Amino acid sequence: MTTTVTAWPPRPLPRISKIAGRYLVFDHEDASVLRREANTNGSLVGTLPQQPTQNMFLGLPIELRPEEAEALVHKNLARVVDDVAAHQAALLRSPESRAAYIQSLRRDKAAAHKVLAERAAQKAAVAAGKAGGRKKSKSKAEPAPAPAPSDGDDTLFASAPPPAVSSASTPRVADSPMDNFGVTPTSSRDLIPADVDREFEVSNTPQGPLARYLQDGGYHTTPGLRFGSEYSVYPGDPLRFHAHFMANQYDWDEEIPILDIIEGGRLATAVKKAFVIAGSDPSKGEAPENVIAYSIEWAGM
Amino acid sequence: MAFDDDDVPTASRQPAAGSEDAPTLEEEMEDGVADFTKLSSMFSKKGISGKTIRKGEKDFESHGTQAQDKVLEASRQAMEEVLGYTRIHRRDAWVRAWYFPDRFAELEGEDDDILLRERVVVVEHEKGNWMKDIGRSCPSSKDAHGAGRLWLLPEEALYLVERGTIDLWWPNKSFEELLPKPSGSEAQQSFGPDDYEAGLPLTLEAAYTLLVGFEGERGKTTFSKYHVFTHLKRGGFNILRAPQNPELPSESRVVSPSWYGFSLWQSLFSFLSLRQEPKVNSQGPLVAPGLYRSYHSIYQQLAIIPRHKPSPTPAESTEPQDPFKIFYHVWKSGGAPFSKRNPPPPDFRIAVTDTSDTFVPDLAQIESLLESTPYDPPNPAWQGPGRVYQRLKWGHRNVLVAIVDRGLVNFMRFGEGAFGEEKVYERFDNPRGRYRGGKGGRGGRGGRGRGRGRGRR
Repeated sequence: MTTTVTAWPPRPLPRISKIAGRYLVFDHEDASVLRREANTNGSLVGTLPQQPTQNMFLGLPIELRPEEAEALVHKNLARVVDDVAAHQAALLRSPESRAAYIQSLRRDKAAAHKVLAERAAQKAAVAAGKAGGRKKSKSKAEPAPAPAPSDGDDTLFASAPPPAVSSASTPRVADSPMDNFGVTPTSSRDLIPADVDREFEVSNTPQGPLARYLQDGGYHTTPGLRFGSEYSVYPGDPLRFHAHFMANQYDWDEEIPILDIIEGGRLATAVKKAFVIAGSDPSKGEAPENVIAYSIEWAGM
Repeated sequence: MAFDDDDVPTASRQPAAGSEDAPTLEEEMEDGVADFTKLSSMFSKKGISGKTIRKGEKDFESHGTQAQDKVLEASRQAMEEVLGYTRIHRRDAWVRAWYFPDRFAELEGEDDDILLRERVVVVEHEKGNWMKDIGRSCPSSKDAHGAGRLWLLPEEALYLVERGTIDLWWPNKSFEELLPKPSGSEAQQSFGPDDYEAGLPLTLEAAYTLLVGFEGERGKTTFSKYHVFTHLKRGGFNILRAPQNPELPSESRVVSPSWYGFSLWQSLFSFLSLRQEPKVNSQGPLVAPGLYRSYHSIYQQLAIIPRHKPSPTPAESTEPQDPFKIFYHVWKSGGAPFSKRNPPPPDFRIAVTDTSDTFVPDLAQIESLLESTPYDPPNPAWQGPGRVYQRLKWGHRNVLVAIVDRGLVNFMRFGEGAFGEEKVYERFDNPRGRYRGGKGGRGGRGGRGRGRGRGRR
């Protein structure tokens, strides 16, 4: 449907954490794999640490509906883990088994140290450049030369005393970076050992035939709450496209109130969408193959 | 560049690489760790807005052009970059908190006015300005060793982890070892951010597993309650859990004098008019035959169904049941400085429901929910027929019900409307607008048919 990413190094299946009956994705790479390769975007439900005082754009975790998670598991595109049990097991293990996680924390700290030191040096270089009457044309595109004052850009540093500036913006840079930072990783990828992760894999997730059908057909969905249906259905990534359908799922023998159809049809048509009703025929195998969907538009005659 | 066929695939192979500086950084990291392409964006706070992520108007469908693919790819990359951020805490602003779920587990309900039993996270370094409505200090009567330490509710702790304010740790040592008495010997060195024998920094994901659970689990919040909490905190409100056994605030017993006077006047008025009316026949007709000089006496006879009359002290009130039970008290920001110890009467009272397991409340549920809030009649200044709708909309009690659908929070306001108190027919006898006698000065404003009803459209 959209751009597919194939050149990534092989990585484990995206991991869906089941916590208190909800299905969440914490790893940002998993989130983008699901978005790009499994046409599943979910809803961002967390506070964005970069901008925590707004409700317009939220951050990780991503929440999936149970039947969305099930549709992914069914097609072997993701796996679900009982995350509460997995964390209890991982945290109660011997401290030695945490070595890999501690290693990853230290790696993040080293990275943070590096980036922040470079940023400070870059600022210092800009300040120095300005003081020396230079344009800051180079510094923005090239952060690398800044921490290496020995070669090319010597002149930048000659014009002003750089150590004073940089140490003011990041105090105690010279100390061990390990003691200078705390890190809160978003996902527990490095905290949960692989064997624990496998042990608590969840197999029985409530399924929804329509969710499987839409996932299989390459559609994206978002919660239908805004238009009064179960799903808003998109022909591609909702970042770029408008929804085409408002979809509801019914049981095969369920009687559908005619008012539901009129309501759904009128409402969907009024917002330039079609109303979809779908059900799965239990006598004809399993979803998504046995799902039949009809779209309804209000003729408005 | 726009005609270069390789352009898009290249971009998608490095989805979060952001810009050209990434490889340079990668070369510099010689620790043997490969995955550093995203480094610069990992700690950057730049570029977060709806605009960078959603570029321009959306399209109806894919038309297979590279231009469209590129715009989508740019949106996705911007989003991935934002989501790839890692929370770091600089040493000078570092606030560590410890997860001690069982320190107050045995505390009995009656004695626990600040919900210590539910508080499972203790703050080691109290820095920052987030404490005005978050956390409570433990009194020495409950915990001699840890007296004065700030303890957090699960939703508070998780929110602070999520917004990058605190660094939550899993303890390896006892409470006493990790958090010595502040007054004790200064020689005792506290543990730094790299002392992993003391404990383990937790991930955001781990914090979710420890702090979010099902309804009724001690020391955990639920997803819907957490989403309401964070939604309001992000919006700048002050929010506290409502006291569990609420004594109705004293304001509920104060009856607004002018309102009281108004209904007294009204009942006097109706008493006078009743005397002139013919006797009502219980066999019908509904309106007794006779000579009528006002609409009022006719409508009085038509009023045979008893109407709800809001009362400051409800006759029998039932205990509200979850989920239609007030869970949060909320205050608007600004104004007088907020005190979490002695909060003023809240601006909003909120019950929390979830679309997955809740239906529209029935009458008994909404009644007991409303009766658990203080009597709050419309502003006495809202007099006259022009403000009927304002009075009705406000109601005599009100409560907000938050409805959560997968992180999407909606608020519905339920008010105790009193249609029986708004007798529209009284105006029919005063076509010039001398509304309710005595208030002649304002009468000119409201005549027949005024109000925000159909007439204005």
